[in-house]
Amino acid sequence: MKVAQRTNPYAPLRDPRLLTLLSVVVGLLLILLYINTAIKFPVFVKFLINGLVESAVLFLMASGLSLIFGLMDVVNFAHGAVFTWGGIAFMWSFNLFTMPAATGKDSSNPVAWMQLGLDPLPATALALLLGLITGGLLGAGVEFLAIRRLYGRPVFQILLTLGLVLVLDESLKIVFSLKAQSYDFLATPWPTGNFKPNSEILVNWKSVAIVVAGLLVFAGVYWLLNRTKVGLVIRGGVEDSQMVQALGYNVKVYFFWVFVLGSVLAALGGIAYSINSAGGSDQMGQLSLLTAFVVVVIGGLGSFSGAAVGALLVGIISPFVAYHFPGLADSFVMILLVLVLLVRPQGLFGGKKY
Amino acid sequence: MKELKIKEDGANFELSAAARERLQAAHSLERKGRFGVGRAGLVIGGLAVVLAILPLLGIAPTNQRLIAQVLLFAAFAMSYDLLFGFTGIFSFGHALFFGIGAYSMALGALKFGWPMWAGAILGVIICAILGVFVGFVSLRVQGVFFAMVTLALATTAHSLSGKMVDLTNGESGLSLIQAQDAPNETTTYFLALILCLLTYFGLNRLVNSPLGRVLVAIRENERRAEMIGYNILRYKIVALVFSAIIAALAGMVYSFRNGIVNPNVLSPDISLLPLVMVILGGAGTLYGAIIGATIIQVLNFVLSSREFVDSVKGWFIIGPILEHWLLLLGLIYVLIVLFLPYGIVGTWRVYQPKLKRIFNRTT
Repeated sequence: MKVAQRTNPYAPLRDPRLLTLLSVVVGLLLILLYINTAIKFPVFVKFLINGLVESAVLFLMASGLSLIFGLMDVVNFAHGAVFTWGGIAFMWSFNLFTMPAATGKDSSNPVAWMQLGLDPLPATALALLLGLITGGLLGAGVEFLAIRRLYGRPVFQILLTLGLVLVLDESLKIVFSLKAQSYDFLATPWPTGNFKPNSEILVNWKSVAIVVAGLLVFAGVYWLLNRTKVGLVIRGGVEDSQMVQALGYNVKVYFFWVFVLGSVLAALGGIAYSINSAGGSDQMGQLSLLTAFVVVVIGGLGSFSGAAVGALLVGIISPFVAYHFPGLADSFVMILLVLVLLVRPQGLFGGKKY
Repeated sequence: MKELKIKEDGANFELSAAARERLQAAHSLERKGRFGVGRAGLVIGGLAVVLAILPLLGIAPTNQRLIAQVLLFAAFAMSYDLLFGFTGIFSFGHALFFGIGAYSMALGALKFGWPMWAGAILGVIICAILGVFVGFVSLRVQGVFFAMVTLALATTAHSLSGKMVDLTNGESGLSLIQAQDAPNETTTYFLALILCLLTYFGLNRLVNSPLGRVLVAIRENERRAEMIGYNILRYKIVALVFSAIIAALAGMVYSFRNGIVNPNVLSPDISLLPLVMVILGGAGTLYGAIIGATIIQVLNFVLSSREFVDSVKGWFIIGPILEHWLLLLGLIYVLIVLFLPYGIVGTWRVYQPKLKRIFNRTT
């Protein structure tokens, strides 16, 4: 018997390729219209560059969170504190490294040996290393002492990491003897200067460095997760840790290193943030953490490229929102979060249901 | 003992002995003590009488302020316990209701020139509506995501309260001292006492009512409660609204006590405090929240007093830790979450039968 087939007259319009093409064309037209009416072209490019840098910083933070929160399902509020620790440790050690050698009374200071009077480039490299090690050690400590006991108990993870935020933020003030809320560079870190592709547009080299760092991290972690055996074990361990354990892999050890990697990425984010805004404060982690959470949720939990897309989305749109609606600058991200959770709770690329 | 009967469709059923026993057990769970308040209720009532007499006997103003602070935070923590301990809703933005209540009252009094009580009623109404709104928007997502949405809302309100200078005077805040009918210290103290008492006995009644049983059922197993036929979203919103109203009242008393409403009432610290208090005292045990609030506030008062900070200055390693109140709070909190996850009252309830058994064996 012949099954009656009704041809849908609108079928060609549902072709995803056509739809994508159409939306790209419409988007480009809208952007053209926008440039010609609401904003000048050089300003547009400036905002775009700012947005790119911001999304790179955001991505560095969100990538660590995406590993810890998205992949391993550990709700880590201490991530922001690690971010602050990384940034402040970087600035503090950079300031010391560039200082001329200590003399007289100062040389009795326990950190006097760090005053090497280095040039910006080696000082930045050393301080970067130190900041990353700080982040890694903090992550290792947090995982080893606390999170290890709490896998699969999200409420207690939240409670515990909230307490850790207090501990880490306060001990930061003691360790680096911070008096004021803000902390500044005494010299300019390495990628100094700028170049002008156009008479009206100015690009800082540090912006380029941050964007490149973001791209490298994306490529590196993507490769690690999707193209190596380690990544396979991690993804398998997240799916079914008992099964992977039965196959002879020590999942706990893998999770430990993922947590450390995430914390190192958080510290890297803090360093990028402090370089980008030429200084930082003891609150910078908490402020960025919420945005990073939003980015991870928008991108979709467990989707690493989703975090990258989310970071780009939030980072690039926010300078324009801040320009046109200055009152909404802070709440824009939150509004976006509420909208995404209401319309698509699993995020743009997330497969899990929440 | 009163005869127990089940009424269903107007007819009385005869019960088997076993069923009667079970029903009696259930009733004894619900009706604690002679006045339906239980031993804890009697202790709290007695304490309240003592606290009510104290100002008449004369009490140092600093201590009076401290007790008022403890009482209003106890009410705030109990309102959080209704959400976290009884319904299993995990909110991070309870400061939203605390702060909005305080702001609504202050704005009503200072900008519109209303009497204080009218501002308070306005604040309660606004917070109730806000509770319904927040519930509808965010209770569709669960667990961590609800926590984050509430955190996002509270953070947004916090930053807006600092930014909308025309309305809120920005960081410098609204001074309630300018208002004609702002209550004085002693009145504030009594307001805090009344609020705490009403909250305890009201919530005690609420959580032992059929409504409260449904809330506990939702906490225990949401899907099962839904399967039985309860509209869990509606029940959760009801819990959220009750909690929001109490939080708003606590925020108002807090602003009376401080004489000022500034963006601090919406800060994340305020959201964190009731959580810590409830965890410390024991979630799901109203008076645990009172115990937690007392411990945290008294510790805060003692440890951040000047004499204490001066006295520990020179101590090796412990000195700097004791000097930083927040660091100590964080450490206590982490240790409790790791080693006493049920809080003080919860742990007591776990070990009480064992202790009793040991005691009985020895005597």
